[in-house]
Amino acid sequence: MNRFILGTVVLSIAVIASAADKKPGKPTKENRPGVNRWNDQSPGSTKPLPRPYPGAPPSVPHGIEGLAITRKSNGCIDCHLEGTDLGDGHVATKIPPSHFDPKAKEELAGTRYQCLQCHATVSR
Amino acid sequence: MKQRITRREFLQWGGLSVAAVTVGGGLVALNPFEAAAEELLPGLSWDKAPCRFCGTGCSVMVGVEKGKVVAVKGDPESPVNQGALCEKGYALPFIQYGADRLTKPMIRKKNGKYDKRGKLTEASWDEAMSLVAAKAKEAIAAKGPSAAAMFGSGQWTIWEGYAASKLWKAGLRSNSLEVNARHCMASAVTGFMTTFGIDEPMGSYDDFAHADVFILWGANMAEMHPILWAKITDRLLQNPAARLYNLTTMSNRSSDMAAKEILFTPQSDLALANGIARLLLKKGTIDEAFIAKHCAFKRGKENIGYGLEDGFKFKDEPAATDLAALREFVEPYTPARVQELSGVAPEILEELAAVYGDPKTKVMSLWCMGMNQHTRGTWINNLVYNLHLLTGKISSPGNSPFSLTGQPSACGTTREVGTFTHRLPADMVVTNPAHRALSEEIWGVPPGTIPDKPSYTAVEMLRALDHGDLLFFWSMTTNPFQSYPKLNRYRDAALKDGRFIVVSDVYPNKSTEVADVVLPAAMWVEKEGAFGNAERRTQFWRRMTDAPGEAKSDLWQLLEFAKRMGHEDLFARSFKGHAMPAGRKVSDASAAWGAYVEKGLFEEYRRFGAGHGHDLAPFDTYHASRGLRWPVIDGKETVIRFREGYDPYVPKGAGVSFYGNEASGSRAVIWQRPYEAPPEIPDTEYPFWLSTGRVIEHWHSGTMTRRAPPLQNAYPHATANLHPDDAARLGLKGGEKIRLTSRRGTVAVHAEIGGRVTPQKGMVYVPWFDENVLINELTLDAYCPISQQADFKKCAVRIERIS
Repeated sequence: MNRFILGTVVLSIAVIASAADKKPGKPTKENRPGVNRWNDQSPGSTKPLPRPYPGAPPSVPHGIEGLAITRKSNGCIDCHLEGTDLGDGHVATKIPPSHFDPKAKEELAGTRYQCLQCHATVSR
Repeated sequence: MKQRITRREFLQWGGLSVAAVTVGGGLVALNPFEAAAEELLPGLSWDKAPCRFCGTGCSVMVGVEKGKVVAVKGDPESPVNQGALCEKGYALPFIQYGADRLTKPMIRKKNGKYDKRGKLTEASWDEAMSLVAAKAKEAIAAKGPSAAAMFGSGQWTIWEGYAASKLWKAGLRSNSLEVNARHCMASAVTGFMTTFGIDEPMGSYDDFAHADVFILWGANMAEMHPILWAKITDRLLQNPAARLYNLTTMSNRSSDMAAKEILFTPQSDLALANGIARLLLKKGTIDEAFIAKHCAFKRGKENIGYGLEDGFKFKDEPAATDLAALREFVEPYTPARVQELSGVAPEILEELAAVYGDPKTKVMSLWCMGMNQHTRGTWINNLVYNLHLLTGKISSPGNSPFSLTGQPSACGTTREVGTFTHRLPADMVVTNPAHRALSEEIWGVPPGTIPDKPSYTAVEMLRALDHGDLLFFWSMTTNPFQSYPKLNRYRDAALKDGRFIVVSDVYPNKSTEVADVVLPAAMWVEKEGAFGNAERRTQFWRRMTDAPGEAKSDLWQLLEFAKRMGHEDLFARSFKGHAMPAGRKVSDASAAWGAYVEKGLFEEYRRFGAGHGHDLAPFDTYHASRGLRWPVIDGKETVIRFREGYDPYVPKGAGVSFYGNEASGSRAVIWQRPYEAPPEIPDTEYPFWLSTGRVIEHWHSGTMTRRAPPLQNAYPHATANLHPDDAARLGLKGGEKIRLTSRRGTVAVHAEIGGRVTPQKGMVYVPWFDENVLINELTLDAYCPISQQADFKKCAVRIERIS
């Protein structure tokens, strides 16, 4: 499972000791479970993590502000539908065929339209 | 095995063909990523399990390699999710493997002996269980059976909840059994019971494909029920005439798909529903024939209080009324009056009334915590049912008032098994002599065994702990010392001398901090399990991996405790004749008893519901299916209840029968329930509303999701979301640290302005997953007097900048 322990989240065995050694009493910052210590990174300021296993949806490596998903427009599709070359050395990842309606192959399946339900963001 | 997908491989997948399968009503695409996962991960074994998180009940295929879960994919054969998963679902391979997983029992000790002020010290199971049993006996000897309490959850498997219920009610002769679902679903239950006389939705997820209009009553489904949101999205995209109204107290992602976002003042949903009912009656856009045939009218007590006083008691006194009385009752809820209370413009109210009133428009109303965590939670559930009953828009495809759930087995375990102080399995209650007699017969215990009075509901339970009437409190699969409202009082109560707290959990958390004994639990596919989701679907899974260290399932723990409390026979007789399955991993509980305990318990449990609307299929059927929606009659599930042609319980020729109220003519009840103000309203000292809730990445108190790097990385800590105008007035910028203070507590948190949630002016929203931002130290423990469910959505706070 080591291959899944990725990057920025510090998971430490020391936690059991820190939770275990404290007397009962008013909780202090010190006797709180240590695994998720205060992290001053706000949503939107972290770096994307690599895909954890084959088949897992990749996370969104860029901000999403202004890219609302509405009935009339989907800010994600604009670049990702065709895999647009952004001209700065980046090519937007093309949406795979699995996401398309098998009846009308040109259309993104309605159940795959809400990109952010599967693809974790690093943005608010 | 390959550890990471290269970009080249990723692009290659683009060339894979799309496999299509027909599931339920619609065609869906199999994800070639998922297909490729099997090719790229050769040697994995795959088996199905329901997702461990929310009440949607998606089915996942779990990939196991060398005894560990290493991948999941959406189950393409599941009618619930048809191969899709949300980001929490995809994070399931992380939840068992956090580095701080609890693996050994621990006892708080000083000088080698149990001491309330000692340190948590590793102990053997024998020593820990001996102490737990001794302390339970001590509590019962000192203050009677109700002094020893079990607090479980909607994350218990069905047989864990059932074993707990049987042990407490038939073994210990105690009704001190409650679940976190009291904080989650109790108002939904009392809503169903008072309106229909039987619990859980009449419709199902099939309704999403048929509805023309979706009305969200305070439910941010885009974040909380993503896969159901995908179904709604699909319907909206395919049908230009279909539309969605988001009735909410804050702007959120669900508004992005809405024809209209309708912001209302907290608590004024009561006025909105009565205002819509008034317009329906005025315009005559009601279904008079349906009402005459299938509905009854009632009113109950008013000015019913808020449960703020310890030992609060309430009993409603329903009285029969009629349609004329209802007309008179709703008359004060004019559009002008509704606007005064809610801020919603008269033309919007008219539009909503037109939607409900148009006989050609199929309407789904959807709600979850916004209506349930409400000091008038039962009432608002009743009032939304009123709209569907007045218009006859119920129990037909797409016409569906739908109460969503938040936990994977809030329905299957807590509601259907009845793991509440007042309940027994299959909607029976301890206060009914016939129900007790039937239960005693099935359980094989003498008449009079089950106590005839409920003891404590969730909030009252920890109040009793504070007073010292309750001395023993054991929580399983839940984190009460993060999730209770008015947390400071109840954490302090747990730390008082003479109180004994046992916590069975998988990771250290706010509850293990105050525990006298910590028991390491096996979770999810480390045991054999069954969950029941929000559409009455019962789903089973098999054990796939081993629990780490000495961790044991809650079922093993409950049965071991039963032995030590002298109730071995109570369970041994349930297992008789159920031999262990050959050729596969059995659970720790089955191994310990040398029998198929899950099957024994389930086969006994389903006797409770058979023949009166709660029929379940035989045990083995569920292992061989993707779940079935009860009642299951002759192997056939029920997609829509109360409608002839769908539900075999409806008598021939009746068309519709609300048979839950059979004793009173099989009619659903239209209730007169007024608007009443909440107990705490912002004032000059505490000028902001505080609402709490979730975010898509995290689930409940974050015990699992905060150990999943993709989720934790995406949302590292809780934020306080504010309206930009309020932030400007306070001179706050996004990311600044602020202090929120209520009359009960204070917490420091980062401000977020213009994020995915923007509350209306004068309100702040804080999710509760973060143990470093214990927002429940601020919330108020006021509750709905009928459901006794607390309101986590409304209290008053002030905001200060931390310089």
